[in-house]
Amino acid sequence: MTGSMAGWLVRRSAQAALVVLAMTVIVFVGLHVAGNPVDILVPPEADAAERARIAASFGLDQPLWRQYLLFVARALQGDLGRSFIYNQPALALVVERLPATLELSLAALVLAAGLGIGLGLYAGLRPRAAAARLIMAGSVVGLSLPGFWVGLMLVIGFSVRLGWLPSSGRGETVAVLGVGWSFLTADGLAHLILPAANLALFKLALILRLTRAGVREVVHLDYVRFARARGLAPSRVVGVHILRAILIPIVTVIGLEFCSTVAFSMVTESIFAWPGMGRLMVESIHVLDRPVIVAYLVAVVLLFVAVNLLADILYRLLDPRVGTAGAGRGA
Amino acid sequence: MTATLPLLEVRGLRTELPARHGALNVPLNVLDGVSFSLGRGRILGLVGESGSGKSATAFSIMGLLDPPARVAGGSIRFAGRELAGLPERELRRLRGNRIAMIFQDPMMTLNPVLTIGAQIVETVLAHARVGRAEARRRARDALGRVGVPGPEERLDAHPHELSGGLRQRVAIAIALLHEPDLIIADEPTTALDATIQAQILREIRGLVEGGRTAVLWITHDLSVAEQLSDEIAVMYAGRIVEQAPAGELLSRPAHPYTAGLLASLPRGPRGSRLTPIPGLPPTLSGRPAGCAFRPRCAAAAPACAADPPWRGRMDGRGGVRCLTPGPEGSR
Repeated sequence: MTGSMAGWLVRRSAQAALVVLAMTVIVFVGLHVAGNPVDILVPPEADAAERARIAASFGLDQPLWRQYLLFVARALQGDLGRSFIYNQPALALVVERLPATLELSLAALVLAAGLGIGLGLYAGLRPRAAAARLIMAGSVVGLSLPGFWVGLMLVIGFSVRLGWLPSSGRGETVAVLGVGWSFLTADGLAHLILPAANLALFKLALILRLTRAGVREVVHLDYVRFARARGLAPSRVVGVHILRAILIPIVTVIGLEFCSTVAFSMVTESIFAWPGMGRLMVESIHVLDRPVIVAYLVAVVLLFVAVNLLADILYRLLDPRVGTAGAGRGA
Repeated sequence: MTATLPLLEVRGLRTELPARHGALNVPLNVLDGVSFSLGRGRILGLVGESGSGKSATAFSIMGLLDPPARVAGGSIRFAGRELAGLPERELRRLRGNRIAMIFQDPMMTLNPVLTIGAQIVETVLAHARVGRAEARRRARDALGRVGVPGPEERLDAHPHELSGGLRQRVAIAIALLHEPDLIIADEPTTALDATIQAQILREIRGLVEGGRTAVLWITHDLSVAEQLSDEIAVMYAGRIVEQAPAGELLSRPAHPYTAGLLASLPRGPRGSRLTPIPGLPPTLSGRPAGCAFRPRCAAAAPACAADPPWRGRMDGRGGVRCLTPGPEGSR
């Protein structure tokens, strides 16, 4: 089993490398079509000689294929280039913003998974209760409302009208391991609530519905009935026998949702002025800052691969019957 | 002593499926006045086709009916205690402890993602105040008692790593953990091959011969019931239609349905014809008034449209619910 596991890991890494390669080609070609960064970088009053000097200093005077090969050669040495705008290593810029985004995404996910699984279990075990019907109706609303609109409503409601919670920035942070974290201070935590709730809403509804559907299916299975017939406490029947059985699809969704949260938190980060990767990405696209865009996308792809890997390992822990036969799932 | 105070006494048990919001707005009687009693050291075979109410009887006793099905009337006295309407907490103390259950499909009754040991240990801990080490020791001993080879190693195995016969032994080991007064076995040997079935039947007999335990053995297979049971009750459409000591019932069936079941068994000399009962058993919502077997019965009379009373068989052993009982002893 460990041998095939190693082979599987190698295949996974090769797949990831291919994805990164394809992604960089797309970004280079796409941005080339979108516009010339030199137009943005040079002052409008600059003459042709000044233009050529600036273009040459960033290597933008070269043909695109040569720019790309140069990028690949450097990337293999761990250098993803310097930002055109900030004149700093692009990767460092992205990594610097990573903790803020990770913090926001994790907070949203913990909120969504905790409430989603809890409410889903309740709705699944008591399908006829009025509260369960209310929860299910609410989940439809949660799935169908657009995230940016909910974000704006949260700001208007809780910040503008009620004035309970701040609506922009990370608030006070505490440095742990050289990185600032918001959730360790009361002020930071207050800043975290609204954006996290905004990001969590859709996921919460999704996980809730998934949990409920799983419970409805599993609760009639013989082994759940047998568990009850053995006189086990309800907490054990639900917490161990039912939950373990429905956890695999939930873990999958949590994994995928975590990735997409990190990758696409730009809307929420923009609304709440959260200084994360998403906002950096939006700003970089505006100014065609190619090295930062590439560095950001590389980081996101690697994150997708890592989370998928983690989910696959979790499957094996959750269900001993998942062998290497099921390992061919794509990245 | 057993004659004066049976371990289990079921009287007029009525289990219903409440009316659903549909055209047919009357509750459906899954069980319609089931009565029997069972003393320690005895085996009662409950025989019937699927849908006749055998399993509903078992789950009514255990308090494990799937809602909205519920016990609507009658009494279930177990060791002098009324089980109908007993709070869930009290029932849970009895389940797996004083009353144990063994289910049909050993593949489905054990949780596939937990080890055998974990499932036995949790059952020990549900009813005994012992530590984990002691629970594990008891789990190992329980496996040894039912003849599972290498019990120590089996504790760490998952159900899919065991054969069907071993799995059913594990289920039986779990049922015997707390030396129950009553074992309800719902077709436990149906999924097993003949040799293992014979072994398990022998072990159950041996267990009952100790004199403390009673077994309610549910099966659709009259020949299994014959090998094992002291008494047999035949169920049809939610009622017991005939009950008598096994030998008497099989040699001198009084109810036309019992006679029909016997005629459809391969019991005579080789080559003798099997006669199936004409027609199909009624569905839950399509049960005719009066004797439910009437449409399939050769001896049906107009008077059978009224509920036939329960009366003693002619040989004085057991009883039958039929206006036109067959000539007992005709076989």
